[in-house]
Amino acid sequence: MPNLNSTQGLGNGGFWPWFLQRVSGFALIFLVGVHMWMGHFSGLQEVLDGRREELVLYEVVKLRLAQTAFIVVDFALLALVLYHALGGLRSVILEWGPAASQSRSVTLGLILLGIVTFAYGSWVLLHFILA
Amino acid sequence: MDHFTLKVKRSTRGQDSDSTQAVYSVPMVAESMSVLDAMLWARGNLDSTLAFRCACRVGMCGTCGVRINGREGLACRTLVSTEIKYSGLVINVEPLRHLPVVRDLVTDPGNFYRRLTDVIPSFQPADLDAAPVAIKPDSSERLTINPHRECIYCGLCYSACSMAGEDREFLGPAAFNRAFALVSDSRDEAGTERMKAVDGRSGIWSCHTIFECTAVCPKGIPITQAIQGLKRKHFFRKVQSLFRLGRPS
Repeated sequence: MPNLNSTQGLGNGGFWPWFLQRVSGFALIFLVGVHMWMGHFSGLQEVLDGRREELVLYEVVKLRLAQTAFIVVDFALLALVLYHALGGLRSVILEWGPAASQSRSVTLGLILLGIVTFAYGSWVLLHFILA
Repeated sequence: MDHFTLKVKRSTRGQDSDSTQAVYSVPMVAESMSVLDAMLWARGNLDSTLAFRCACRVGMCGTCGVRINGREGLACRTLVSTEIKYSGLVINVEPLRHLPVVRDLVTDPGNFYRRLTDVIPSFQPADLDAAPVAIKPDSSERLTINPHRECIYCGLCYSACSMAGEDREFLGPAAFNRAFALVSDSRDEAGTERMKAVDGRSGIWSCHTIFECTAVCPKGIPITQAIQGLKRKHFFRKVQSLFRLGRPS
């Protein structure tokens, strides 16, 4: 049955959320590419040749995170993944009638979730950087 | 003569609670028989109370839009022979979605037309007395506009659009298509108002680019392309307005 009494004026809130979701998506293609290459492919030959025991080693990650460029890449990746994922989740939630009237609460809740998750992710990264 | 089964969703007040499914055995009178022909045969020979709309019977008026085997289509342009190939001699016919059902297959298109008027669907020239400057047939402007002028406002795209079902205020694919055709026309003067109308909470940004509207359009209009075109135009307007910041207009 069509939802003819549905909440009016749903949607994800206009141009800027839509635009930033796409910009973060494109940036993620690059950052995830760098992350995947450095983490899972760059030392693959050494592992295959038997020169290294495992691909992802604590020491290797620690060495990588001693470089400013990788610190920037990893923090940017963390921030953008969270922004993109939670922005998408917000869009899905707000298109559900009952949640649409609670738009501010939903947005605030997701911002808090983003901050907490970013803090946790940063704590993990700092563990490598400061160790 | 071979027969097939025509199942029609019927209701008296458009409520699902009182809806029933009428089952008719209809003879396949010709290879070119349309679903509308089958419905007319059922009404003429089996049940004179069956309610549906039709007018031109050649796919020009858009009046006979229904859902046929779960897919929006014009009953007059959908062949029975094509449908029964995939559905085992059964054709299910339902009213369009997202619009109140008046009775059986007759829906009230009021909300569909109201959303259309939100985008100012008529051409607005700068000077009503001056003859409009012609756009050359081979110009890029004309080639951009042309495919989007073919809309017959049948409402199939509105029924196929999932956002139209979630949000009554959502302008819908037909309104976006009309807005795109008019804002692409350099002679039209209401572009700013139209762009403002499609920029709202129930505007183009709610479209998820699922292509359902384009898939069901009986005129083959690239509606999703129109929506993307509006998004692109809006983006460039935003960029322009950002660069004008702090400058006297």
